[in-house]
Amino acid sequence: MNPFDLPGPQFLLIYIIFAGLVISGLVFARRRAELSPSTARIDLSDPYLIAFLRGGEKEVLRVATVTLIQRGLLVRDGKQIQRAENASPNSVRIPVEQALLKKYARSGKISWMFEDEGLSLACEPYARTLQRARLLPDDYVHRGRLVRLVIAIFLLTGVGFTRVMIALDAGRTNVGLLIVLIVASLVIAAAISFPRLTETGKAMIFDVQTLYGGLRHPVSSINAGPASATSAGGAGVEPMMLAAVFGVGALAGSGFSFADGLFRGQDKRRSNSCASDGDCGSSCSTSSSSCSGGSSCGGGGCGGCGGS
Amino acid sequence: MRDRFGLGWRAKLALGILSNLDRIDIVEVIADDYFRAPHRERRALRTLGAQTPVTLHGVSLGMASSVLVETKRLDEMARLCDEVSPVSWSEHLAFVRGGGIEIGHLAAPPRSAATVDGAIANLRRARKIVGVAPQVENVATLIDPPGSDRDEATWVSEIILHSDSDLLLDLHNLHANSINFNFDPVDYITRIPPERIGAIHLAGGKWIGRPDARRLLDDHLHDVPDPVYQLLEKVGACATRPLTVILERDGNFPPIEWLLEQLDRARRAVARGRTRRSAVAA
Repeated sequence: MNPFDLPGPQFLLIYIIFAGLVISGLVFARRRAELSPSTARIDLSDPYLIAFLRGGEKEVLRVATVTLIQRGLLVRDGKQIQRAENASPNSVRIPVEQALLKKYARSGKISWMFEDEGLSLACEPYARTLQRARLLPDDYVHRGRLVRLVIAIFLLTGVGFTRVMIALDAGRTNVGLLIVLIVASLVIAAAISFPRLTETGKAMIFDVQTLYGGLRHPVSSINAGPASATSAGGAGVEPMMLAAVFGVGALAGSGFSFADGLFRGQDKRRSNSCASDGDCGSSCSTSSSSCSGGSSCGGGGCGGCGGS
Repeated sequence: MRDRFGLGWRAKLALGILSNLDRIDIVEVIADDYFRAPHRERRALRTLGAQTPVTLHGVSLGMASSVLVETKRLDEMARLCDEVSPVSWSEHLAFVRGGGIEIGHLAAPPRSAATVDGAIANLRRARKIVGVAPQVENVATLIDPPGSDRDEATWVSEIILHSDSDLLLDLHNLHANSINFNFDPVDYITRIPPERIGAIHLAGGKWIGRPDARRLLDDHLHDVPDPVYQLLEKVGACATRPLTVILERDGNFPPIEWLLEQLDRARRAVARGRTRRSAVAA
């Protein structure tokens, strides 16, 4: 039986199933191609690198802004921020922090940082590092995605328009719904073909959130006291990493509660990790269930007859 | 090969560990936390293993028992080892269950021929199923196991000499037992075959009991005491193979820098021992 000879409604059903299979195949093929069997090695102690992985340059800027405010180098006034009087771009070492301090030499809206090319440039090294680790798509991955999409387009349009031509040739013009289905399937295929991260990158986000799950528990004990002004280390590094791994929204309830409100409404995408660029994984529900470790001695001693 | 120094992986130490991998050679992970963990959490452990060498440490197999360790538990360890590819794995010379009852604790078994035989049989099965023999750790105890007919050094030596397992020598356990049962820990060390000492655990503990009957409890919540470093130097002087030295801390966490300083002190202690050994050999 030739499926192209089926009555209209039956062919539409067949086409929907066919398009579903093609799109599923597209997703499967991308996952298979991009999920590396070996584990990437990146610097898991670099909060900006992790923030970029999770949400791109906007997340880096959010984390950097919060940490600069905490370190007293940026001063906030409502939805505006400004470099502190005694601060200088030379007082920090990390390029994105220097760029932010330059950008806000004078008071300005927080949302401006998301449109600044200089700040984007300062974030580029993170993108390159993650591309080298195959966590962000490089040219090779992009080409693979493009090839798979072209094949999918060929299949979806080939089958669909063959039927359209047959129908028109037979003098039937009621092909509007089929054309809508063809276009819809092409749009879906294109939309799912180019996620920001590779599959390995998505897996890495979850891994990092699992490894750093312990940071979430003492959140209420993190206070926004002064950290070292010149470096990201010291007292400020835990909240900074918490924001990098889970989003600045994870600081809610701590001395950094200002952080979440700082970016609310500044960008369509919330600063919380659950909403950033759609590739952040299930960060909000992640805890360290398996990482909480401890030997059988636990934290409460060995129960009176020894230990490990 | 060289001696390696590392920390026990605890969620609250994650940032400190991952930020100081230039000062940490290896991380020890409690294997049992991952036996039934979802695949994605086990994969996170593999990601940790990509950053630094990992060794797995079991706490629930109960190797030193006349009862065979369940195949299911060894299968779980084997699966985890396959996924994580640790540099080694270890378990305790303890029993943790009996008659279907879980003790929930690492209990020192009677030191007898029966438990030597049982431990050897379990270690053979473990090697067969996991593919690699575990290192076995001496445990701390606050009571002298009833039914014992030999001392601990003899018992441990018999087990490692008749199995393929090397010793993970927990020096704080040894220190605590030596105080609680009044024996010489240095004599203990010299009676262990030096070529079979593969790893070291360091930890701290606290005094418990009445002032006239104080005992030392190994709780992993305190700093490593001075006598343990002295024992470590002694082990460094006699052990013939590279050592993996792990500092265990389960709670009451100090700043990471403080733990790293203890690790550096352990490096210096082993180095002093190695120097002594070289001098004697020369």
